[in-house]
Amino acid sequence: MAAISISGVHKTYEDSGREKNRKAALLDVSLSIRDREFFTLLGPSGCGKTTLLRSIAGFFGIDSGSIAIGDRTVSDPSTGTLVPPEHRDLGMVFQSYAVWPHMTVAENVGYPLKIRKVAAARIGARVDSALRQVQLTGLAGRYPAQLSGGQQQRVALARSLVMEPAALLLDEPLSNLDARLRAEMRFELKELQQRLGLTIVYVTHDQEEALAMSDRIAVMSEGRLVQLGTPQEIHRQPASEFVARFLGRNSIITGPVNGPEKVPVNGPALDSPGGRITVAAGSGLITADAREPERLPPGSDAIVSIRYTAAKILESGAPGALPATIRVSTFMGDYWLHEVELSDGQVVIARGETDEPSYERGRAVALQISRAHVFPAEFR
Amino acid sequence: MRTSTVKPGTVAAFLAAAALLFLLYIRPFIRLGLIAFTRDGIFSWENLRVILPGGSDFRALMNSLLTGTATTLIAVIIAIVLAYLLARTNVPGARFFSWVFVVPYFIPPFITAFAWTRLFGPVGYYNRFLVWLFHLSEPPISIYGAGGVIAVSALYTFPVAFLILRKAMMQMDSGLEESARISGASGIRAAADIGIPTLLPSIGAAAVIVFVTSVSMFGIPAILGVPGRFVVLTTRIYAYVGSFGNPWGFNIAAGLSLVLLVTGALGLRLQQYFIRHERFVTVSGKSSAATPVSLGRYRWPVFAALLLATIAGVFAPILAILVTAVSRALGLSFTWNNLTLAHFWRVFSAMPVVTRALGNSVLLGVTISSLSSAVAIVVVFVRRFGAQRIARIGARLTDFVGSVPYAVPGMAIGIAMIVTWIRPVLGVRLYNTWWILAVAYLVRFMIFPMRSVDAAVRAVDGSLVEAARLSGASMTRSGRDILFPLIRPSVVSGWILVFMPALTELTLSILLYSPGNETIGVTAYNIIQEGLLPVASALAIIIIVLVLLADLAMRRITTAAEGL
Repeated sequence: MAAISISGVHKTYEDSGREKNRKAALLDVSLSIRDREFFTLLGPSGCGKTTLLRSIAGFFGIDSGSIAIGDRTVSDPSTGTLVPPEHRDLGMVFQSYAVWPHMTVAENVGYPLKIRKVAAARIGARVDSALRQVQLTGLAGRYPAQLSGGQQQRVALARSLVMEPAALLLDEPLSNLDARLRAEMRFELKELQQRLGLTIVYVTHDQEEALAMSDRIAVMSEGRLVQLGTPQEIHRQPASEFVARFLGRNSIITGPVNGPEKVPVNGPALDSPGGRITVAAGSGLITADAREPERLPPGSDAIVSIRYTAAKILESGAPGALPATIRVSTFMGDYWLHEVELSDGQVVIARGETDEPSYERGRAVALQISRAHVFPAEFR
Repeated sequence: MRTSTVKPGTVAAFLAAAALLFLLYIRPFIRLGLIAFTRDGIFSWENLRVILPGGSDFRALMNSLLTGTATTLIAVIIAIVLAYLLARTNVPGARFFSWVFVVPYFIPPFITAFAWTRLFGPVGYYNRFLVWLFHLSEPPISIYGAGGVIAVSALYTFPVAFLILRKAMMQMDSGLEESARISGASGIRAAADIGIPTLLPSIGAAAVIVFVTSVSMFGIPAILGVPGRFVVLTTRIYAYVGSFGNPWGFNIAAGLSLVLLVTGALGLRLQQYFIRHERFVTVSGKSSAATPVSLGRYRWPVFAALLLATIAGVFAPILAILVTAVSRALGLSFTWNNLTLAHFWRVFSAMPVVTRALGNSVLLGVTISSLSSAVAIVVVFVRRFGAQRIARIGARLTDFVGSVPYAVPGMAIGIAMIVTWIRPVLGVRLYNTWWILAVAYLVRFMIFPMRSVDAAVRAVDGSLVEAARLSGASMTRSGRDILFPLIRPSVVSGWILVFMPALTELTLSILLYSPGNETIGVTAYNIIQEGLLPVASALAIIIIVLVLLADLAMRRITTAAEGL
């Protein structure tokens, strides 16, 4: 296994006859993936995450910057270096699995070894061991058409592992599976990665998947890297409104900055790297963590992101809470989701415990926000 | 499960349809079989003996097989290369080339054959150029014979294979080859181990279509083969029909037609086998967005090669007849003074048959296109909305019929029509009238629009119509307001799909026309065979323009439909 370093990578798509304009896919992306790390590229479709993964794989060259796997530079247009995919020593699992339909499971998994002219007897043993790793023992003679989607995916995984590559590239490998299998495979993949000490570059648009599996996450938007950090860092301290929105179930409200926090009204101050700022919303103030408080002078427009788990419904008139009205309450099984409206019409989603009662529409309540993040409005 | 009560009206319509089916499709081919296996009403193998080793037409059979095999080989290889370049790589102008390489298929084959004689015939431009260049005493290349027939057949048929393979390559998951690359295979190795094997069923299906088409073709071997004493089954059939010396001419023609029919039927089975295996290719997951393979520094050289191929293979023959058509006289140097449009004028003024034939062909085209489109709509709607039992029959019919068009050779239909209608049937006399052409065209083209209409109706999600029903529209009303507007582009393109080949049809017409009922295909063919080069060229240009206009109209309609 090996580390991967990406520095200053630019990539624009060339005109393929279909798209009229050259469009930027990657803009000055730099990051380094550590050895044995589960590293996730997270972002919406078109953010450049797949382009970055395919640049690492070497399916196309980059316009500038460089990519190195271990100590070997594999892409660097300034020196004319472009190692073809077959010489990069990588494994890859595609969203479509790309299991070859005309080969058996064993032939699929053994193909990388056959290409490398490994002796037939050794191929058999290594295929068996790879199939054991992904729990497909006994299916070696089957054809892909005889396998379920989940099994095909394990074949693809075994095939990418069999030659013990420097790193494993996974392109949305779970998105074609049904919800139950997807949850199961998350644990299994993570377990496999830790057991075998794999370096994994994982591409997904599913924030839950990214948070659950990764050692570190790179959030991408419009070809740029917008935040890099551990799942906890990204979850607790989103760097921008975009990241906050993308992480899901965050309510976004806007309002003018009131000023720096004077008295901690919302309980004890948590570790916040920047400072805390109050923002006017509804008929009260919300206190929120700011990464760069100096960019939020009083009176400037601010965006506040509130995670649903940090918002709680109290009886109307509770001290330190914002007056609000219930719009709808939804029972989620393990908890309630309450959608409430502030007096200025902005909507916040709050979490309620199952032993709490449900609230009827229009009921006056109070909204307590224990933690929020604030960004200058130009981050939009 | 819904139990359906079948109304008497439905039964009557069903019986009428069955009777028509019998009269048009079943009876003629039974007659063909009977004539092929009898002499003077007595069972006989004699009619088929001619194709056995030592028989007079054994050579024609061998030549047909040779033409079919060689054409298929060349056409499929051209198609694989072009489809790969245009579907999977970043070669510039892929859209343009994808259009232009299909053009040869729209031009009637006998016109193409004639056009190539203007380049490689004894006095063709290219031969004359070589003679002048190397001071030769004889033209170095002869287009008449096996080589010419095969080369021109390949140029005419490769677009079909190209279209099939381009579609397959566009649908093929690019991850299949990419995962081979990541596994350590070079680009060529990935293509050999993964790309070609997964595409094999599509390649097989394309090869079968090309083979059957080239074996059943009449125009090209008639123009390029016969003068070089290279005879094939279709040209022999035509010769037998026209020969009064042989008392068994019709019987032998029927026997040879039967051979063509069997070839077509076997091809159909083989193609269905390949298509069944095609499904197995696309079984795994969703296809990731295909990223074109980068040609790198070969991008522009490949573009240049394609452009050259377009000029040499598509534009040069058209240009050759254009030059002939506007030259005052053959052999004059190509200068401004020697240009004239007089030949275009003479086509109409000096040859009343051309105007008459054009009228006949347009009338045939419009009638048959409209009729076959109407039939297709009825059959497809019955299939989708009719009572279950009838719908199931409809389903089988459309499935079967969708792949038949190329498999039944025109020559065989023509002979079957002659032997069926040569005497009045139930007091109706069709032979030697315009009507026998109409009936024959109907048999040949009726099923063409079935597939496009069927696919269009299937593509309309059931919920669209159901939503209209729930909004208060009746079954008929929702069909008119929702379904029909959505499938209209496909109906129109299906119409043109019949109109185009019907307009320039040659194979059936040459067997069935009578004085006064000539078609434009027959007329052009006769003028070509009479060697009236300038006039023939002018008429060929007119036909090409007509066909390209129809093609352009169809493309506009289908692209408009894609935007829907």
